[in-house]
Amino acid sequence: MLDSPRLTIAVRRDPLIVEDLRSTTVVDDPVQRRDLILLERAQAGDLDAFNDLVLCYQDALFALVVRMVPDRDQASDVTQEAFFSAFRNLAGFRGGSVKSWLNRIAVNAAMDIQRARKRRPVQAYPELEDESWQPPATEDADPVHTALTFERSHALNVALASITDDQRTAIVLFDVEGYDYAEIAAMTAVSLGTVKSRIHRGRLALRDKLVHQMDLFRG
Amino acid sequence: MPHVSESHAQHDPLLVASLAAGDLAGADRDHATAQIASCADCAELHADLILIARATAALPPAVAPRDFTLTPEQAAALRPGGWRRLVAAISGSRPLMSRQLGIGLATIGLMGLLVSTLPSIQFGNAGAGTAAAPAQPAAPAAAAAGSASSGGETSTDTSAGSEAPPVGVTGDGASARPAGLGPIHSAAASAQTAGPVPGQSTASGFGTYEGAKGAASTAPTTIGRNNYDAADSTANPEGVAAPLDSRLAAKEPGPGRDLLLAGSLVLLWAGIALLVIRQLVRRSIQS
Repeated sequence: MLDSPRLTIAVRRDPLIVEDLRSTTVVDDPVQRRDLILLERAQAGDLDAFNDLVLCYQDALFALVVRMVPDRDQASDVTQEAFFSAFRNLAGFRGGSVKSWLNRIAVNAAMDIQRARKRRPVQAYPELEDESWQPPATEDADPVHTALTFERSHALNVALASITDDQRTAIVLFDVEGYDYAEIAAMTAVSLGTVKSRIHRGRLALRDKLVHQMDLFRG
Repeated sequence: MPHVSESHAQHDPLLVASLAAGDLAGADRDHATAQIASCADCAELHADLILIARATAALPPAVAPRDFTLTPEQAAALRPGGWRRLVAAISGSRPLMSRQLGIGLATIGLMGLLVSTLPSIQFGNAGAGTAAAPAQPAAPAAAAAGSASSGGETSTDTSAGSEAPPVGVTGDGASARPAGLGPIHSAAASAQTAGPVPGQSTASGFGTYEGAKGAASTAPTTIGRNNYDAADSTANPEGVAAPLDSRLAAKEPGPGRDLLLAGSLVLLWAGIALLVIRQLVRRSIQS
């Protein structure tokens, strides 16, 4: 038994360092593996590696932020600030999903803007520029279907912009980003019940806003 | 606005929303299902909420309007340097350590503050005890003996209660002096009024006329203090001079106590500052 080659390998192998043990849990996901490699290089001072991460996630982060802060200019600023914050705090990354880490930073930056707007109310969010929100049309797409999708998205975006910040944030994180209640509660620093309540009330508010346009969604 | 039935107006829409989100179980779920089955408006609301949730999830992704990559200049400006790097090192990798360190420093500082101030409190209390205790028995003794107190009696009283010589002196002087003399007298005058006893025991160290006089001639500040003490004891035969004693004791802390006090304050502030900095850095990391 002692002559077993597997045992020999096990004896000869150098002790694993903690980082390797941690990374074995996420290394199965190639995207996550790529992110971790880029992040480690960025932590070592490689700006190109960080910019690669930015290129990978800037669309996703902007999409998240622009739904929470339905003003494209502000959303753009918030997204930039989120990447600045991520770069400043590269040392603060403590493992796990890089995407979740970046999303959390972006959500916090967006919530800061929302709080600032509450303190200093200026005006309601402007109506979203529809041309930026047109879904990508393929060649074989049905024009009627494309137009319907566009109308639906437009109506939903307008309705989303008109509900409260807290409800919008919870709905976006739950429905669009796919986080579960516990993750949203951790991100927004509220209780699980509050998250559920915000989602339920937010959907009811959306339905109130869209009650005359529900045919768009039924079709 | 679509017509809403009277019965539907009494239904809880949140219950329907919870059911649409799949958050209900058990009796609540059964209740909501029954409500939807019996109310057409609730059923429509339920269906609409599900449609809205699906449509929200299917919203087309927005495309970033510009490139958010960092330029080398921006990166250089954003890189933490100097004290920020130090703070990040403290607060970033091991948050619990900095927290414990901050709490520990603040605790040690608080304990040091307590220790450095406690002796003066004890001292003041002891002084109060000594000032109050001999003054009362000494007064009848002095009254009985006339104007001059017997050295043995007085010295016993003062030595019994006096760890602080000036207090003993004042008690003596006050007890030997008639109460109607007025509040302000010098120690020498008090001693003269009480009657000098050359052979008086000097257990208190300052009980003799010469001692008092010598103190008056060599250390005017001591005499001045004795004046106040004498006046105080005269005005308050019950020995209300205790707070004054404690104030005097507090006014003269030893150099060691000063050092301890200063060190404790430094530790306390360092601990509090560490905790505050840690909190600020964590907040900036989160944002």
